Amino acid sequence: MRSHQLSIYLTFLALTLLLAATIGLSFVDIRPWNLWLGLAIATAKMLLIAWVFMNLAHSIGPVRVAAAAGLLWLSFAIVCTLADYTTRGWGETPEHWLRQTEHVESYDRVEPPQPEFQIPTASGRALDDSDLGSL
Amino acid sequence: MANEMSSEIAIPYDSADQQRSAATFGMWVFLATEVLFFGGLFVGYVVYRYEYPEAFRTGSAELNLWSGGAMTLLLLLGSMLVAVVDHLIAPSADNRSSLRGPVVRRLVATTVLGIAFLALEFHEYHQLIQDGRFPGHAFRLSDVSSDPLDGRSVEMFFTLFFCMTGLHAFHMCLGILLVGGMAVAIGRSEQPRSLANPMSVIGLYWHFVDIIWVFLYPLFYLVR
Amino acid sequence: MNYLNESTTLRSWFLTTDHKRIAILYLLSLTFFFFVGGMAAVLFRLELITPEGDLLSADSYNKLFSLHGIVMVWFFLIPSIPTVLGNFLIPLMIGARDLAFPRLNLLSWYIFMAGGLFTLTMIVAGGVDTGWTFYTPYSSTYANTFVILAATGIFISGFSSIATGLNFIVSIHVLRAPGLTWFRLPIFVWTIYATSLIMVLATPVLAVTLALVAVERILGVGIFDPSIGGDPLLFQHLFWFYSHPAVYIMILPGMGVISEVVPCFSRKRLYGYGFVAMATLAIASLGFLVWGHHMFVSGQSMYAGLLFSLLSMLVAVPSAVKVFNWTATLYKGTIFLKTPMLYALGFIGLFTFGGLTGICLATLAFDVHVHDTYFIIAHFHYIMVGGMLMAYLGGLHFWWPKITGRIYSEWWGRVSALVVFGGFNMTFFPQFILGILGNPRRYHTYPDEFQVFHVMSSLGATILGIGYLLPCCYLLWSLKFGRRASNDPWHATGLEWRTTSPPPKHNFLSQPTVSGPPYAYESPHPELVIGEGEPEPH
Repeated sequence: MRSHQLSIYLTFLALTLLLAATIGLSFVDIRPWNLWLGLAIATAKMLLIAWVFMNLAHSIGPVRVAAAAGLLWLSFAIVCTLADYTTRGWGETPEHWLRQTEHVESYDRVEPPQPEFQIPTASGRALDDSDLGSL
Repeated sequence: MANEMSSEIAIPYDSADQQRSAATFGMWVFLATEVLFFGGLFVGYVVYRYEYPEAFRTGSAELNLWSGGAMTLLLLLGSMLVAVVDHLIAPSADNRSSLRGPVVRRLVATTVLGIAFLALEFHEYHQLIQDGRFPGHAFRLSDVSSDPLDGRSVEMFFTLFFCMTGLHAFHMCLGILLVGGMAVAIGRSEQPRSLANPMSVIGLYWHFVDIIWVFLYPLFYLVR
Repeated sequence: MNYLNESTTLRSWFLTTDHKRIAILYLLSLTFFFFVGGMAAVLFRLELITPEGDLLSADSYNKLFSLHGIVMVWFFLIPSIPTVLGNFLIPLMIGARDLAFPRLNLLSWYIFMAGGLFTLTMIVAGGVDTGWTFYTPYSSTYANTFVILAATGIFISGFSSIATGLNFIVSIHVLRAPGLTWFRLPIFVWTIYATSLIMVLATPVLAVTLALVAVERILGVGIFDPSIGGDPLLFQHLFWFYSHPAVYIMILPGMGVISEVVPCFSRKRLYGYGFVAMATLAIASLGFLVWGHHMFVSGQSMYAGLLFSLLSMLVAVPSAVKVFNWTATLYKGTIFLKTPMLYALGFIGLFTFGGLTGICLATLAFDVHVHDTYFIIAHFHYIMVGGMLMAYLGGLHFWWPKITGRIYSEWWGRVSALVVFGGFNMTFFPQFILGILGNPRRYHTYPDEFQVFHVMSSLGATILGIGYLLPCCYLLWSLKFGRRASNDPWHATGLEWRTTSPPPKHNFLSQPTVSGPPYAYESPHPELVIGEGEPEPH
């Protein structure tokens, strides 16, 4: 039983060292590895806290599954969202997909209709061109 | 141990062990929920850091790295104390020695560490608001020529900073109330060990809030 | 003595921790919210009888469809089967005395009512006109209606959802009766388990997203604000990360009800039990990866669109597995066309129709054509009303004898099932045609040539409304005048039928044990009569 208490103290020591490492890392410029190493250190800290402090080491299976599920589902959210943002810069329609599309010149000259009213905003201020400029 | 606690088993359960594992498992499921609660904000962080890396560098340089590091250390220390308390009070632990004193001392220390964390954090908020780093009409930034949108994307960094650390601070407040309340309850209790289940559950919550900060610290204070 | 009459004071109801009584509290509150949402539908279907905007102004119309969406989604469909039937049945089906955390269960009802109170306040104050989806930047910058109140109501009720889901997950893991292994669980328990997973893992994302919209309205800047480089589309990503899986929160428990009803009224084992159970988990997990199909025309990257389209096709596979298994269960069964079975058969047909049109919509090119038209409206009402609501009513009829100890009028039950089925199709089938023809959703006026379809739809809605009022009447009537139900009026399997109707306070007089697989139906005696109730004592 004493040994468990000892492992708690040792874990705290390891966490402190990792904290020092992550701070030290921020003073050297090894981009883009600063980000990835920083996250790796944070993950190592998380695993230590979960494994020893939160007793995951001696937990039943369902508890470990619950712990993993939160992270897995968070990764679903991040990966699928990034699937959008990282591919936005790509060419919207590859050239060879367009072969059969007929170009209609008159489409280029359609003037957008001028709005006759101004869109009200929550602040009561009407939209003007400066709003467009800041986009 | 199981026999000693049998008088306190709730209706749905057959044994104290079953009740304890339900409490622990339930808390872990709740923590998975909490991961996703912060998760929405982490998704936002990832997207905007991907879009505006320079703005995050500019913003991060405005934060006090050492104060953030000290806050991390306070939380880690508190977590260690809570882990020891949970170990001392667990039903499987050696129960010959009196445990009220050691447990209460550590819980009070954790509460104080938590309050110190919040004090440092609110001090930093105060400084940032004074310097005009709070998003909104008053936001201003001196040197912004190099950043996209004339530096307004730095405002995005600070919006995320205040939302995420603010949500974390809210969780800290709850944690401080729970741990402090636990210290009072154990201090008054005739049989501190009968509070082992709530203590474990509150401990798990405290560690979780700690883990969130472990990620927030490098993501906001240590951006290169 | 049973759970209904062991104590009858108001206090004993409002402070109860008995999962069966909490289920009744939910039943009553959900019925109330269903009629609130229904009244909104009545008003805008009336407006849509004529092409001109003569009954409602554009603003009131916007507020009414928003109200209908918000109330129906968050205050009826999402809690419906889990909190009413799930609360009542899960402990009975797993042979437990209560859920794992009885007080948390009661708290979840109070949280739900607090959220409902905010929503009602919002309605009385003047409503909200963003639609149930709260898309930014309209909701965050431009809308002048009560967005924060509405968001707060949903935010609060989300925690009720989380508490309920957590309670079910822990109960199913920890409290199963001796011998009740995972693969002996009724499919209803599997589906509630999968639903709870979604509630627990998706709801918090919605909560934080709505909180961010509120922050943006209060501060004037926020993470969706384009003026500081924010992307309004990020809101849609986060919103649909919850709201697409939420569709499975609505439909999975319905599938669970059908998986109980179909074997019972076919007197056959459920075909392919393992496949149905695994398909349930597959739907719950895959359902998290398809949300981008709501955003095909939003400006999302085309490549992300391709990915989401593909994944959406995949989620159709386990859904189809289930439909095939139900129909295979019917094959060569001895079929009793009782009320729950009529609802279940209606579910299978309408769900298939809704699912297939869903595949149409998951196809990128077709979606561009029908996006934001009545086609979408018809599609998701086939799933939510044709699917989920039919299953809810079917389940309510199936377990009514267990919940109340009374048998309702079978003749009226069958009439209501047929009226609902007919009225539903008349309401929503014309909307598929309207959508294909290009009538956009969310407008209170439309071109003259669409009038015939809108009139059919409004007429159908009237019939549907009558179909919903009928069960209210004869079910209430049965409470006083119905025949008493035996413990197992349908001769069904499952632990819930091994206790009295209604069950005692702690469910079972002695701890039940299980020694075999579920759905142990055998081909019946030719003169088997089910659902008749006890003969009246003389």
